[in-house]
Amino acid sequence: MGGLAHDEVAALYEAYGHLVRRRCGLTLRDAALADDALQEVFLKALRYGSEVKSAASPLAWLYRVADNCCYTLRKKITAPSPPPAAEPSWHPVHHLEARNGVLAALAGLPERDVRVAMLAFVDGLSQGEIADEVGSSRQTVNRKLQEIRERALVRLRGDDD
Amino acid sequence: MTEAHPSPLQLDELHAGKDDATVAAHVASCRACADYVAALAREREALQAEWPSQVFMRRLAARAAAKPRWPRWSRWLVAIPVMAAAAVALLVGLQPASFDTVRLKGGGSVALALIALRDGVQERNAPAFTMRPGDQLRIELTLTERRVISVGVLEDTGGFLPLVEAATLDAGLHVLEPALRVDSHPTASTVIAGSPDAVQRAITTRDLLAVVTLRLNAQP
Repeated sequence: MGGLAHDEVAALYEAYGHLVRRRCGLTLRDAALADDALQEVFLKALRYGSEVKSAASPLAWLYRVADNCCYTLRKKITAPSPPPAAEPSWHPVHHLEARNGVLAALAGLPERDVRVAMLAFVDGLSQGEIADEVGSSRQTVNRKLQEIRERALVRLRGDDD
Repeated sequence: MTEAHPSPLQLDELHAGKDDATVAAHVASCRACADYVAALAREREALQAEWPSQVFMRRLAARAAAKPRWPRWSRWLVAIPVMAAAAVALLVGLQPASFDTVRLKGGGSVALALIALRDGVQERNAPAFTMRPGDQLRIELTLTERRVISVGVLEDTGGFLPLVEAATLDAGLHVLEPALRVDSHPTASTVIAGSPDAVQRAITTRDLLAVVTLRLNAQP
């Protein structure tokens, strides 16, 4: 797995940098960590990103790397962050409460489940599309999403108390 | 989520320049989606104003220079000499609670288990094991079809210890050599196995979706 040239990474950053930053901000809810994650994602592209050239969707590749970087960075969060000053834009296709509940519950999820949660509740993919993306059966994805929803509900109820 | 709107990922891709006439037609007729895409355009302008491409790339170069490409393996797992390793034998018939499995490209699947010897007692473990100094470990791999496989131990801190590097293994159960002993300062890690490409991707990006995993926790 080789890397990308400086100019290729610069072009990726110009096209997708703001989208990667937005996703990292959604996941981490911490502007400084999100900026750290943004640099880490493009550093990985610089060092190991040659496969992005043949990827069906460069953005989906970057999102996958971003989710993994955020998973690692999330471990550095020792205290709940205050809500960000400006919420990233969101679309009515998201059920905001469900999305926020899931994002709040990410900290307790295994790495694989975080990816499934992001694909479902942030990217809005169908269960079949997620199954294709992560190489699992649709039944497995369905079961995972059910577990994630239940965790999110517990988290939301806990926050209400 | 509803059927009426494209997915956020589709909208993100359209905004980033993907040619998708269906999504573009929807955005042209949907206020909510048009507002979402317009917000993305404002976020692009804001980032370009804050960190223009040249500035960002200079930061990235500095970060690359400061950060080693491959974090070193911290050497807390050590190979056991052949005679001593014989004491860690294959366990048959004792099944762990559950196996993690992953499908392989081209067909078949792979599963991992761990045989641990502690205080003279052997146990077969999956999908996780909590290590103590002095534990002796053997990795057990089960393949449903003959495949090229890589296996290794990926530390949470980034180090990687290869155990099998792109080797062709027959279908069936394999107990990997060498046996390993946990030294005095184990580091939380994950044993990963899968196609060489998937293992390489897991090492470089920590994307564990296409590999089978067995978690090694370090006892506090």
